[in-house]
Amino acid sequence: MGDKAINSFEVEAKELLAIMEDSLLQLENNPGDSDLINAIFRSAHTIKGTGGVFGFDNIVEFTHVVENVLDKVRSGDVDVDSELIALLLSCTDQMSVLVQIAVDGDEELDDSVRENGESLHAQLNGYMDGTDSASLSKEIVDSIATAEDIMVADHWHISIRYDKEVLQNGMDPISFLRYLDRLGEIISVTILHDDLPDLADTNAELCYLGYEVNFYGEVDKAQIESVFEFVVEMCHLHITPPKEKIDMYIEMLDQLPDEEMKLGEILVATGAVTQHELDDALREQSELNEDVIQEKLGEVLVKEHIVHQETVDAALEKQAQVAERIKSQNRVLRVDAEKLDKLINLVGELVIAGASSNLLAHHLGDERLLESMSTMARLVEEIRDSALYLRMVQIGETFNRFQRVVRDVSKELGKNIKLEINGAETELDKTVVEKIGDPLMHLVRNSMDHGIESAEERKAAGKPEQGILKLNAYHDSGSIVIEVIDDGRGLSREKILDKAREKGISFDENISDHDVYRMIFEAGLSTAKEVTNLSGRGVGMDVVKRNIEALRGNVDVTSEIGKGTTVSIRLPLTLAIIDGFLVGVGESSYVIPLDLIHECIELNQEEQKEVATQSYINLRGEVLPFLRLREFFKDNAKEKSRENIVVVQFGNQKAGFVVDELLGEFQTVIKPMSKILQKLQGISGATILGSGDVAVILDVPTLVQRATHLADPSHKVGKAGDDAPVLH
Amino acid sequence: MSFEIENENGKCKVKGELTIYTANKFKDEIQKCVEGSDQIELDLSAVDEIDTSCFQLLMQAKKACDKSDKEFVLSKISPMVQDVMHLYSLDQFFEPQTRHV
Repeated sequence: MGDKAINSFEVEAKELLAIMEDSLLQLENNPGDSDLINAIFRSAHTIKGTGGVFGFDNIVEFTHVVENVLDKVRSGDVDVDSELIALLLSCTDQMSVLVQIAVDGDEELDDSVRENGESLHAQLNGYMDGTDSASLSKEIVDSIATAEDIMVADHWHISIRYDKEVLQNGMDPISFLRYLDRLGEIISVTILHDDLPDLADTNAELCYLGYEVNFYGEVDKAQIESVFEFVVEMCHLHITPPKEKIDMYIEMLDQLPDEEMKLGEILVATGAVTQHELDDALREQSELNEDVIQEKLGEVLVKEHIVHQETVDAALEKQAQVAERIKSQNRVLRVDAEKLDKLINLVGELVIAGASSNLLAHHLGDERLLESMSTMARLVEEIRDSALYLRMVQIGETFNRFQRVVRDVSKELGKNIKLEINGAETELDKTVVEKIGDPLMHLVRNSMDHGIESAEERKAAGKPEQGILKLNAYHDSGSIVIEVIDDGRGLSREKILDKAREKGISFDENISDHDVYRMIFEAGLSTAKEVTNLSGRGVGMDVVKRNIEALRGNVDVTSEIGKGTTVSIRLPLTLAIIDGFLVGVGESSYVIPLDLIHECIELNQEEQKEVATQSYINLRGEVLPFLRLREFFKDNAKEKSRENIVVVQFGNQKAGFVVDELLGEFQTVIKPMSKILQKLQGISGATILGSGDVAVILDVPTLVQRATHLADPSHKVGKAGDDAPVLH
Repeated sequence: MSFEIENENGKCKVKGELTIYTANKFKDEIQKCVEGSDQIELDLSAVDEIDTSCFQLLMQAKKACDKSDKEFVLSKISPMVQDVMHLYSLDQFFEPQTRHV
């Protein structure tokens, strides 16, 4: 078997295991949901089968036992409870390990792996002996009276129960029967009169009779239902089609388009069930109380004698078939990441080449050419946007990983915490998604460890015992915002300020609450009393902030004591192309990321002299370290008469870059640097200008630190924690 | 919308319309009929119209008689009444005492 095949197996198995884990977690909250149970069973079954094809005996052997237990769950012989879920989750972990071992080509299992497998087997086998009490769903299946009890083969059976007031409302059952008779032939009517009160006690204006009608006619259900159109609000109507209709319905099922439809929709489309009946059944389904496991729609319809079991079965089969076919039609393509990157590169080239052509067209001045170039430019921009959006993936996958994390960590901490996810379908660049996982993990663990209190504390504070942790994601004006929200104890201003004083960080006494909260991102500033192995060492938050800023995003925190804390991360939608600002230094051009630019100042003659002699300037009373880019990049071109300073800000550090010319905003397609150049300090990429020249993109964080170091050599570059920055 | 009923020791002749508009009145009359005798005979040959409400009453009258072991006979029924009786398949219910006009 080639590598490619094994690769496919690995990808598919991992996907199936993710589905299994996800479904198991959901199943814990919805133990009766047979869709979930089926999904879990099918995943295990498929892994076992494909594993067998490749001869991965370990996988087959282990999964076989898992499958057996899942089968029992499916048939209702084994009930779903927390213990079983925990066991099955451990089994998916084991299966994951086995898959990895098999794919890596190892035949022999580690002792620890084998022992774990045996222990899990033993626990699984515990479920195989003896059957637990039959689940309610089985009872429901057994109790469904088949339509045969009532039905005569070729006839429709119509069951009518009028509301008592029907006569008072001017309707008489007689007229409806007469109308019905016109559509075909009423074969028999059975009047149910058990509810008739005694003559002495009766209300002569009320209707106490029930009707069972056998009817033969070349009609469909909707036509029969329309007979009772005027009285449909005042009666319960059940129309059972003749048995011969089943074949007709099944035939119609085949003719339905290959769209995903719900069972109810399928049945209505074939005419086996009318919309009205479907609505009634759905309403009944939702009115069942909690104790009874929700009957499935098909069961409800059959029980009410609205359809035959066979029709429902055929519809369900059709549903499954369509789902299969859609899956195999590949509405979603799996794309090789390398191919995508290549495409993006080519698009970048196209943008640059386009800019170049544009320049030439401008020089030529030909009207028609300019117009044509303008159209081209627009199309190129559209392609650029589409290509960049190809790299967008939903953040939902990343969020979903946290379900397991929250579950495990809350058990570890002995707290009761629920995870709510919103905006899972929000999309962002794939590189960002990959890099945001670790910071998010840290924030989530922080919230769980220090934010959310224990159940007793919460109860004492009048909060619900279960803590809620929310992960939100949404788009906001060109950025994506990710929020980690907890309803825990919130940040304490005093505690943070105390710790800050301890660490020698000076601050204004009137510092705003918001700025106090932001201090948690300073290195070394953890106010956690205990250092757990999750968090508390104070090394986390500053790393989180740095990582997020490396993605050219920013992070902020708001909090209300006693109520909770919200950490918001704002990230650019894409990293491949940024808004840049072009500056000229000597003969070269440099690009500075626009969102890091604070302001641009023109230097007059005096200031220029200052700049020439000092390493910092006075910016409205502020000390501003700066770098002469000309010196930094050793550009020996002739000095220009004008100089400008671009003031940039990274984190809470400001610095100035002295440049010659300010050349304006520039859509920067980032071209990656080759390996040789990647270690260069101060440069984070390059781009090609319309003229064909190369412009280098400045690595602002590094340069700012360099400037700060130059202005005050006693600062140690890179150890922000040891600085005593002045906080505004 | 009205009817007339002549009651002679359980032998009742009904003329007119037996519908929901007259149902309450019919109920009282038929009750009197049933209570007043051990052998009730209804002549419905002159009934022009009958609807479910009054048919119900007929059924209830029959049941009341069955309960107290009284005889209840529909001696004559008009075509209208027969129509409904047939539609409702109630022939058996009122058997064997029904005689048609």
